[in-house]
Amino acid sequence: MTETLAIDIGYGYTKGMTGKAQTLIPSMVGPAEAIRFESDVIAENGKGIALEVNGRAFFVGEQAEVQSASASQTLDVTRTGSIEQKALFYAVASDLVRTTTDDIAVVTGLPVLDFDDRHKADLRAMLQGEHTVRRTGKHTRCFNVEGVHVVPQAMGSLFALVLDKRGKLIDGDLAGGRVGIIDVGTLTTNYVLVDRLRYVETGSDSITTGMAEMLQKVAKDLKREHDLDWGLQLSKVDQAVRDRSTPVKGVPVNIAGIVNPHIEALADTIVSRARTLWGGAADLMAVVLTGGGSLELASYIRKAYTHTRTVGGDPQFANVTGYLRAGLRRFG
Amino acid sequence: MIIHVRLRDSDADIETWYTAQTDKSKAVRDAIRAYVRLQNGASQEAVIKDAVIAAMGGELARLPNLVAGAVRDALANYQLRPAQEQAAPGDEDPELAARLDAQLDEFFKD
Repeated sequence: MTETLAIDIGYGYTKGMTGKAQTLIPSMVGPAEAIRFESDVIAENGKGIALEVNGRAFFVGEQAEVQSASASQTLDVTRTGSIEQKALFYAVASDLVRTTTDDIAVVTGLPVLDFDDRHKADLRAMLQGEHTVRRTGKHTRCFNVEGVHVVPQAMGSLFALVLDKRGKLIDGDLAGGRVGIIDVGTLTTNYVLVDRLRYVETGSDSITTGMAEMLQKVAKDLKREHDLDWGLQLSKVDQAVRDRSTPVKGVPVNIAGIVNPHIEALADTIVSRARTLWGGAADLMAVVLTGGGSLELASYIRKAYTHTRTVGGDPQFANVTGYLRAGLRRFG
Repeated sequence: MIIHVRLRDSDADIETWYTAQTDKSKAVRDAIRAYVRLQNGASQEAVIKDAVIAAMGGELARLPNLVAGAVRDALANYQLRPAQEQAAPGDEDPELAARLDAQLDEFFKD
């Protein structure tokens, strides 16, 4: 029987999901030869991901972040079909694909700007066919990807809202209307317009603005005001932003005054593009806000669009959840 | 035949049991049958087991109604709409489902 594997490769995190399990891995990939001595540690304590792609060894996730600063979070992970993306796919597959599974259907997404035949072909070339996943500390997995199915990234969040766990249509309100979806990611923000479940390309777009831009600005202010040099450690800045507080010389400091203006500025940029696409959105049933940045931005976006809805659960998983549900509807 | 019983003042425990029976006649008949089986050599364990099976049979038959009633009450209290929560193939709007499947056909074509 063919198993459905949903995967969402983002600049910040890669999310994977099957009907039985899910995983989230920082999208960081580093060549293992640069940190070879760590391989024994990984084999011993089981932490980190070391695997082989096309005969080359890679570290993936936190281990790459810690050990390979220069090679860790590069734009290569966003280059469709790159070997770094394949390493992320293998990391997810080694977590989720059972050793007894032979055939897989992959459902995944592309940013609206890249949702064209060329990028889809690159993605299929990388994913389709026979794979042997060798990961340190895990059984080798051999499987065949018999189909790669691609949707515009933010559509996943809508599918997550209107389909149940088996892929059956359950939300007639959202499904029956025009809906705008704003998916705020780390590097990009995707806008998707859907009219009664049909993707409307003319009302959809991507901009290269995301949470990373805001985090960089906060990092700059933290350096200037508190001498915290976190320009290359955005995960630390991200945590401080969520907490609105961070320890400085051992003492917690409230940083809401630094953070809030930058979030408001990011929200203004995001709303500005939405207005050019959808105007006041009065004819939309709802504006659905999703993606890793949605919780921080919701209160600001809601000022512009009072009918803004956020997705339930962890918004980082909204797209991959929808990919899986769409896949289950199609392939069972 | 309908069986009537007369209780003495010292039979308070039996009265409590008797009052709780919805079908008093059947309950007394079952009790007498059980007593007769015990007198005829059946083990207490066998008699109790049969009684439990008989009682559970009645309860189990009522279970779907009990559960459905409890769910209805819960949904009414929370003002939820059962139609959205109890998805089944027949519940899909056929027109919307067709649009969705057509969209997935486009996305999923190789």
